[in-house]
Amino acid sequence: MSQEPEDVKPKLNLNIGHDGTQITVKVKANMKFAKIFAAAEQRFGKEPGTFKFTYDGARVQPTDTPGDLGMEDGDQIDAHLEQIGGGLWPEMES
Amino acid sequence: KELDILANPNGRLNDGCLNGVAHLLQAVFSQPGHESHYPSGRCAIFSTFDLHMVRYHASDADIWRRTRATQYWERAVWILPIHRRSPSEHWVLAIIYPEARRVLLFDSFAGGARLWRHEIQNDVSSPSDDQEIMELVTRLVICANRNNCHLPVVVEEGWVAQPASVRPHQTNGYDCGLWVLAGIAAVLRGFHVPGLCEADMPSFRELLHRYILGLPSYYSK
Repeated sequence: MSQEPEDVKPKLNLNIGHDGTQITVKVKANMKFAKIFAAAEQRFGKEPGTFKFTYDGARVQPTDTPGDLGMEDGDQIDAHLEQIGGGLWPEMES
Repeated sequence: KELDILANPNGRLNDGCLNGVAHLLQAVFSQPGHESHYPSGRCAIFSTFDLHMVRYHASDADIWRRTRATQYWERAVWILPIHRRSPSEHWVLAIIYPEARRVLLFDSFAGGARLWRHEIQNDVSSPSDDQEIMELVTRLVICANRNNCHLPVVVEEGWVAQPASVRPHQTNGYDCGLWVLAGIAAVLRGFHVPGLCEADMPSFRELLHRYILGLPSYYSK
């Protein structure tokens, strides 16, 4: 009786949240986050490169993988819109 | 991208610049033997994304997950950089002293209380926007205590919010993020407001840029 072939690359379910909306993506531990980011942005209906992603508050880089960051099944990633600011002119204070 | 922003004399800072440089400053000032080792070690620095959590009613679990790394319940000073999207995109800073129940508000334009209305004032006509800072403080206290990190802070009454400075520091339309970083540096060194003037900002920007260029590179596997 033959054994089932062992899955050497098990998949993880990662939850990605943005402003209270949540999606789940199934990824391999050695998949680059660049690909995961693109999938998440598509699911949220955003242009590529729109979001910045953090894991427990720390920035996730596109070249990282879930395995690099020690992620486990069910872990949460947060997606943020970029914040940029320079100031307001005093006449705009009203 | 962040390096390009810092290298540009008129570059408007983004969240990466704010969050990254704030933690770099704390790492530098907290080194053993540094003259600011003690005051810097008393501070918890929150992310520019953290106040946003109360705007979309994030769960306590999410707030705890995203803030526990700061170990804020063990720190006397909470540094909270804030991004405003209106009336124009602007960086400001709240310095929170939980034991004293005091919040210092630093705005490089020294804007009046009216400009802090979303963060501090209790406007019953707009309950979803009011008192964002106090709501975050309350949720942080609840989260810490629920997770067995003792934080005996009274949040129901007695809190006072004051401007850190009534003198405008900034007249241009691009340096507010840099001023917030100068404010963070001042607090990490045990002061309330930066001692810099607007003429110092190009040098401060260049100093930060050079310091980051001198850091070892990070490579992913």
